[in-house]
Amino acid sequence: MSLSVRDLSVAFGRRAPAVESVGFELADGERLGVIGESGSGKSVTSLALMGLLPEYARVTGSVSLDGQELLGLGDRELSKLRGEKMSMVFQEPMTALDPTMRVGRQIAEAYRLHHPRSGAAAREQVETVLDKVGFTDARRVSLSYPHELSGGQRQRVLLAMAVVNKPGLIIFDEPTTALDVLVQAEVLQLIDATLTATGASALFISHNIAVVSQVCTRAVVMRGGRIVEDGPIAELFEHPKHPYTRALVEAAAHE
Amino acid sequence: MSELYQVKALTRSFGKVEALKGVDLAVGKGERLGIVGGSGSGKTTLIRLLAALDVPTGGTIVFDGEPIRAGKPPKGFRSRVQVVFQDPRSSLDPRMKIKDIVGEPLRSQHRRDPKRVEQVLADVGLEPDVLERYPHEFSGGQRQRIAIARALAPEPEVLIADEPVSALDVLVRDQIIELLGSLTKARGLTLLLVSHDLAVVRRLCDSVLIMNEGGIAESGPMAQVMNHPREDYTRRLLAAVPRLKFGPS
Repeated sequence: MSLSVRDLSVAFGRRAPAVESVGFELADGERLGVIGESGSGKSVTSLALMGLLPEYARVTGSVSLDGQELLGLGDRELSKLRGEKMSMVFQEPMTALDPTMRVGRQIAEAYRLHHPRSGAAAREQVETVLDKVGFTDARRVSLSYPHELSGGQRQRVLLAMAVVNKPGLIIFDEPTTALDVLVQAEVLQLIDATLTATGASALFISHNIAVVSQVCTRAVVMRGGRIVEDGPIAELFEHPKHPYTRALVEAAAHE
Repeated sequence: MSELYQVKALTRSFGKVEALKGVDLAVGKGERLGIVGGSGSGKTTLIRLLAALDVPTGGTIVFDGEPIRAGKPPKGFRSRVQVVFQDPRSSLDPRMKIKDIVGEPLRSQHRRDPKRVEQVLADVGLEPDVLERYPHEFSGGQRQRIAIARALAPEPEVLIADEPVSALDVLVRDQIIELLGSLTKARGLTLLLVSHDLAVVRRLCDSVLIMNEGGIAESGPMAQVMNHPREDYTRRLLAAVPRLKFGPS
């Protein structure tokens, strides 16, 4: 799916806008990195795309998914789109999952939102999709509660939930930041394989430019609510034009 | 290098969970040792014991020739060994002024030394006008500078740092790593640095301890472990570090 964001601004109350005149294009099947530090506006941007900002947020501009304008849509229309056309994977799977519900049921509920009257099919889908995200014991996992799984396993469950309705766009918000290196490498590989298999477009939000360089083909760099630079990854990191991008690349090259 | 810490068969269990399974370790005076491992590898448990903030289930820790008994450190230990934690937000008392926070370890030595407080704040790059202010008025990076100043105030020999830059943004992180490097070098401090991030350890330490599942997977001089890892676990860990695919030419 293609995504076109134009002149997007978000403000909360009387404070300075959190996001100001942000624009980018995401072609069908493309993976775009959104790089920034805390307060850069990268997460607010993704929440605005998903229609997940609180009501008092003032959102202006245009966000169009395969030609359909998303800003201004009501809750019902948005919930129809969420999951089916676009989905999101958050940083902290412990807070994104319901601690009181077996993970299989949580995935089934996400599926049934878009496939009503599908009890048996939903159960089947749960195991298929858990299989796809690399669990060899899908049945046992589906009967587990979130706290019974490791951080990496929980993140794979979230990925399963995000892809169960085969959306055309997946937004990843710091999906591996809470994981340690070995698990991070596994999850990144899995994300890469899943995107390749489904052909979904992806928006990949991260403060870690090394991670972005591994997953994405293009990136935008955000600072203070604005995009300071964008371009293909190779060009952006080999010949950074903006001093801020240059500083980020130098810090990453140190490591 | 004479030995500062001698650790033998150290274990720590929490109920049925064995967080440390018999660790042997020697740390030399002035050594800068990085302790690396995934979550649950036992690295934080180990340094909490070395800082005498926790009591081992078994084994012994000898510090500069004197045993640490049941969490009771030898006299002077609390000033000689200082700790910097990951999150400066929770490790600085929000109701205290900066001058009192940084002066606290001096007060416990019955010293009142405003000059010393000003000096260590200057050493970490902060102006005297911060003295009368409170922690919430500072950014994460500045709060970590304050935490480092507090740790340095009593002129310790050992600095123990638990993920000191993990909560910080990329650029600030870079500055704090530089600061920790120059301060420990200038003072000849013994540094025990815990991090899940090999890159941080590589920049600050000259030897490294790789932990896995409560034990030591591999240890040795930094260059040797990084360039010629002997253990499969270390090799996997090194290979997993995300590298910048393209860089400045």
